[in-house]
Amino acid sequence: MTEQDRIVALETIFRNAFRRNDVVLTREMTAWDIPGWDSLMNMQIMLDVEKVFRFRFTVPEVANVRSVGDLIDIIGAKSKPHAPAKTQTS
Amino acid sequence: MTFHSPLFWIYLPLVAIVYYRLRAQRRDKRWLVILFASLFLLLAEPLGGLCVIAMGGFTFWVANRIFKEESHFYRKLWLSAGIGSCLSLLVLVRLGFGDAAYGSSFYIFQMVGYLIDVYQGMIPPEQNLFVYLTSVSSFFYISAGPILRAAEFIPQLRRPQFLTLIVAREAIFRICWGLAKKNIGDMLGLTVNEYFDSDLTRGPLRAWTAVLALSAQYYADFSGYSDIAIGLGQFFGLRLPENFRTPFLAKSVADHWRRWHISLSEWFRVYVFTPLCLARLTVPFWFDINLTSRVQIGLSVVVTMILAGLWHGFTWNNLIWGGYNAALIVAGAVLGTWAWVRSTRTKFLKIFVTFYLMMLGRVLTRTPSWKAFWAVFNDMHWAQGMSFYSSARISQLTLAILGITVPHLVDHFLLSQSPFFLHQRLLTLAIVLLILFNVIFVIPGQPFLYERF
Repeated sequence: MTEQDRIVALETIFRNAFRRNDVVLTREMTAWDIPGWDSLMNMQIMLDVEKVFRFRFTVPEVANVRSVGDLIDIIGAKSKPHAPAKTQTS
Repeated sequence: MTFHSPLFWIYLPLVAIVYYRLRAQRRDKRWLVILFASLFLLLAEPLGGLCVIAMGGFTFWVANRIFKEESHFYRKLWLSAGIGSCLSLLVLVRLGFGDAAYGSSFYIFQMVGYLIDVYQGMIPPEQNLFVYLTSVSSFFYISAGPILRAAEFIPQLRRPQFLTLIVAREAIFRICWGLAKKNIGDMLGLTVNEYFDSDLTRGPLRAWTAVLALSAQYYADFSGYSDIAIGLGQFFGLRLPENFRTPFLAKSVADHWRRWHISLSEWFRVYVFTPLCLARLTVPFWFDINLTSRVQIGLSVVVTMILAGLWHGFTWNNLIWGGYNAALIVAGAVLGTWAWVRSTRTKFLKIFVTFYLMMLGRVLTRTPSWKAFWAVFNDMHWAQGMSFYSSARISQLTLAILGITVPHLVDHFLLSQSPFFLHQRLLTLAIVLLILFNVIFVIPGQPFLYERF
């Protein structure tokens, strides 16, 4: 799974979570760049990533995510080759 | 003896002189000055001081055991023993056993956070007991925060920043401004106490004056302490995190908690909320509880906020306060999915509604019972009983509104690094004016409100 695939899958997760179709992700994006990305939304995204990519986050991993790039790297390191299993669309 | 005591301000320059007389050596040991200064102040509260040292020593030892232990089971066991001991002490203090309350919530939370960080492998345990004790007992934040994380603070103790004239001036301004806020809070406290300590129904004007003054008092007092702590940290070459970011401008209750007592909110987010959200709700040998992510997050918010409420004290009002905040956060998350709520056009409405809701929450913590809360609520919203619209009442209301707006305005400019704070002569003038203000308006012997936690 390439990084571009991961970004595309993540964009679907973000769009569903924020209920906005105009979310375009870059590696450098942080919570300050998307209005409404608070701790609740952050956990919503993490739990959706767990479901889609079929792995479990640890607490330090979630605590250390500072940007979309960090999230992409964790997904790359932890997800299985056949993931994502499903990407829901709204 | 803390910031509200005149003796502290005589003691502080002596500590600073010793601190800066020590030449920088190959391995900087100036943290020892902070440790001895802190221990000396702790002597004023013998039992409280003993608890800090005993718990500090114990958690230091436990953290090293966790790190060295290879068995996952025993690592968990040591972690449970460490956290269990810390929380037992906190519970005993909350239940009123012994006079060990001095800053207990703050250093205990710091120690619990440290143990969890070591357990999760985020940091290695500190090898020097005295450095660790300095980090949990430093006199400038022990009694009311901010709650520091070991990974960010301990390295600073070993390599404090060099003090320049510009930084020293900023630090003095911050300390004077914190003291001024404390005095503003104490003055508003007179209006608050006059209203809340009386059983009489006094009409909407006095109710609104007292409730607005209460919000202003809480902010001025809590953030004033943090300002002094941050200023003292700067003075000793240590960078403490900001603890308040104009919370009355929050656009939702969740946003409010990202701006109010940030280090405590962050502690609950990292050590309670996140693990609860990621927890697998499994009952062994029976069944797995498969909750949807939204329900699990909602439940995590409720548990986190109720624990945050009980942190303030084991009372029904604090329990209800926790549930009230949780309900508002969850409701805010649900409403936040609506486009018109997210729209920037509703910004001022959101700020106003959030301020109003949080103001009611503060009334809940200030009143002794549910019944008393309803009496204040009725007083605010339905005109009844006495109501004197005298010039004195209008002045009190004006002062309450100024107490809310002026500190927020100054803090906004302070945090946004306004050019004013870079202009050295203006800053010096501001320091002189603040010192005058503090000398004229000081109300002696008033402790900081958060110190009782």
